[in-house]
Amino acid sequence: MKESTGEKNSQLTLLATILLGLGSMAAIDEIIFHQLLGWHHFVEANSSALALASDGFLHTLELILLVVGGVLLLRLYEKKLYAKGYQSAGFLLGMGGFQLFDGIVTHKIIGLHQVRYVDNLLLYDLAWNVSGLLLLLLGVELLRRAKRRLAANPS
Amino acid sequence: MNAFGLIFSLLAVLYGVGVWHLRRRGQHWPFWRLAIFTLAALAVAIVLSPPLLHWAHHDFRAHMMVHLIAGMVAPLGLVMASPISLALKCVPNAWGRFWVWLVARPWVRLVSHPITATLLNVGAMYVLYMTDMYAWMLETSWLAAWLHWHFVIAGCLFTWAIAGPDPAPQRPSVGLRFGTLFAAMVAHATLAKWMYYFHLPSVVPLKEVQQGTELMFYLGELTEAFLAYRLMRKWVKNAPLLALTNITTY
Repeated sequence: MKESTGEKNSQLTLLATILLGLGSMAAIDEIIFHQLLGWHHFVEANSSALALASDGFLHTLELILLVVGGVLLLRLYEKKLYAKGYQSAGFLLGMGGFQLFDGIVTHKIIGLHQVRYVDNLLLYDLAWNVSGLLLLLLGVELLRRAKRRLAANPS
Repeated sequence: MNAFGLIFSLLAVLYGVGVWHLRRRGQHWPFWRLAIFTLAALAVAIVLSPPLLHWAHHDFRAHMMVHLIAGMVAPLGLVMASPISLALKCVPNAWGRFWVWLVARPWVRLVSHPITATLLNVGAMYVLYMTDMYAWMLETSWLAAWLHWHFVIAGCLFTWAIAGPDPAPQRPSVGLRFGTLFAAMVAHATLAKWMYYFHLPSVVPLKEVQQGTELMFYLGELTEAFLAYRLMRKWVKNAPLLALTNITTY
């Protein structure tokens, strides 16, 4: 009984923090690269109505992920049900996951916008995706440790 | 002072009298509700006062700020303060029965349904900004006044339909309300981007449209995200997923 509860709590903690990580990275990208550095713009010069609508969708998704993840984690804290060690793992997995998704799918496959509008774009793309991969790998390592700790001490 | 100032100041006074009435009977009513209702009512009275409306008439950024405060932020305060629950505690029972009868009417249920409320709220913005209605409004004072009323009332209706605390019989499910809110947020954000890119309303200088729609995109979405927070928070307290772990734990 206790083991399955511990597993469920760790899954819920992981879910909540992955959602928070995804939303946070999206918000960080938006604040740093859009608002502060101005590398991409509110709308790009040759946009389409559909690309703009997908911007609206992604911005909404970012806020909703933050809200849902935040409410879930708040509830887990209130009930003292959160699993130790899983929070940072989930958060990093979410952040790295978003960064890679943004770098590969949004920038390269769909091509909504680029990291920066310069000649040596490859460097920027590499920095973007490698940093995403590092965050993701760090998250995987933390998750492995948290799982090992839970297995050793199931309560 | 105009009709907005008069009516919303009166509403704030009435709310205060209601709270005073309850306190005198020894009943509790949270202070924060009185505070947010008063602030929200005053905010509407101020942003829809003649000098600010005059400014908003000539500057699209001011128009957008007025619209955001009167139609999105203030309704949060007005609705989350549970004014109907307060009123029902203060009036004779017969009025309460009338209210129950009224909200059970099919047409009231239809108008206060989340999807209808979204169409009245965000749908009306599409009509106002993407057609020539904005230019027409600038020349027609009765239309301008009517639109201000429309956005305050539609904002309250939307807030109440999605996550209002006041009692309502047979509410649509949380899933439907959450989905509707998500769709409304996407529609609102997309409208802001379209207006920015396609230069709508075209009678407004491009620079003003761009700055106004950025406000609409960021601030508007934040107020709706707060609504999502209220709805999720209420739902998660009864969520079977977490309640189950609660029973079996420790």
